[in-house]
Amino acid sequence: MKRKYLLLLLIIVFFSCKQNTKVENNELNLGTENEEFEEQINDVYYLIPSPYEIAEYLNENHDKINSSVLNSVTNIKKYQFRTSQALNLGVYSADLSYLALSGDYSNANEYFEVIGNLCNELQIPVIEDDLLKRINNNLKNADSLQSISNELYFNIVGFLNNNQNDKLFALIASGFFIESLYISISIEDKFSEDNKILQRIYEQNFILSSLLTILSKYSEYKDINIIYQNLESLNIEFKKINYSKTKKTYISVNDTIMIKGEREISLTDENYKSIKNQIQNSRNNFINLN
Amino acid sequence: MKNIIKISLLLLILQSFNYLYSQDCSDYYTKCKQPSKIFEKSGMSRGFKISQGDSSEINLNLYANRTYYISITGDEILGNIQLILLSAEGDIIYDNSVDEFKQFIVMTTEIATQLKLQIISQPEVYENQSKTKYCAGVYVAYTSNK
Repeated sequence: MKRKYLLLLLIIVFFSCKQNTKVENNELNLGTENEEFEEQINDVYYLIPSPYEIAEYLNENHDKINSSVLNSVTNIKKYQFRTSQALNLGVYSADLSYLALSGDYSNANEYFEVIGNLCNELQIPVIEDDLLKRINNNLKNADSLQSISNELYFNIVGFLNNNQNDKLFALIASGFFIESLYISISIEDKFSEDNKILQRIYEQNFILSSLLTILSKYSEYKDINIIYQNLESLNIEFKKINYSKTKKTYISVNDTIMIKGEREISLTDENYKSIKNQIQNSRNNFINLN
Repeated sequence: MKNIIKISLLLLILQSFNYLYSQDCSDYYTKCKQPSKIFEKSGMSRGFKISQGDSSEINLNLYANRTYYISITGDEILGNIQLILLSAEGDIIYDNSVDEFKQFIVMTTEIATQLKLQIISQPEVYENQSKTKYCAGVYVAYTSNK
């Protein structure tokens, strides 16, 4: 009899500990509803560069950033809901990337802290003790700052990928995308037709289209739709820019594929002002979202 | 008592299979062939899951004046991993199936562009009929051409 009870107990323990192949996730509180997690069909992926890569491309000369341009760390008090937390986790990630790029370690510590706090709020367990020690010990070394900020980003993305949380990733990515453009357009404030930085800002429309594709899957959620509409408004401005369509050619030379081509962009002052306004509006909407 | 031990062992074995199928593939790209140290890892590196014989499409956003290194790998059960590189317009730029399923490519870009990677599992033997997913990864790295 005792053996039968023991066997029954083992069976009960087995089923109660059974691992799920899909992870039950604490979903975003979008508006007033909790949405049930849906299993993702991961056959098509839209991959975008990291915040540091975007910063590096837009700020090629590693110009020093005026820290007043960045989203103030005190704004973290505003972010009470998961949507604003995720968006501004992205915003602060972009800020940290620009600080890392320009070697501004003095402000970096504060940004690591707010990123860590937002990760905790979103239940993204990515800052382990080892990483925390390295943050505290290495903030006077530009290369380490870059390496640590990248590692933090990869930890966040890895966690989200493993939990198939494309929604949360899309919000974070929207945050760092807009913030990167905002900082860049703040550095390069004057319009000129042959301004290379403005041309590079235009080239971000590729990433924008990927982001819009990811966001469109969730646009039935009110808060996601607001973000989508903000980015779509920017997309509309990008589409107004005239550019020459040059045929790309692909040549193989010594086992390297060379993608050759030229694209001439005719950017007008009007284009520039519209894009700048839209970037500023979107950014202000994101950092002031509760 | 012997029956209880046998059943306990059986339950443990079944648990371990269950663990395998829910494994974390997010870091699987680190198993890809790594480039030289001049390259920086891109945020586009990613692990994912794919079934035997299935394909996945990966959309990449590439900047101008960069050299990109892209490598792929997958669980052994997936067999050879076919990599087809396509332009945004759908033209085939490269197919590693004619290159002995070489697991990496190097590209230089003069202009910013979007490209698609099709990753296709080509197993020699199909292990089972179910759509069990296994780990695969794509590692993307870059360096500036300046």
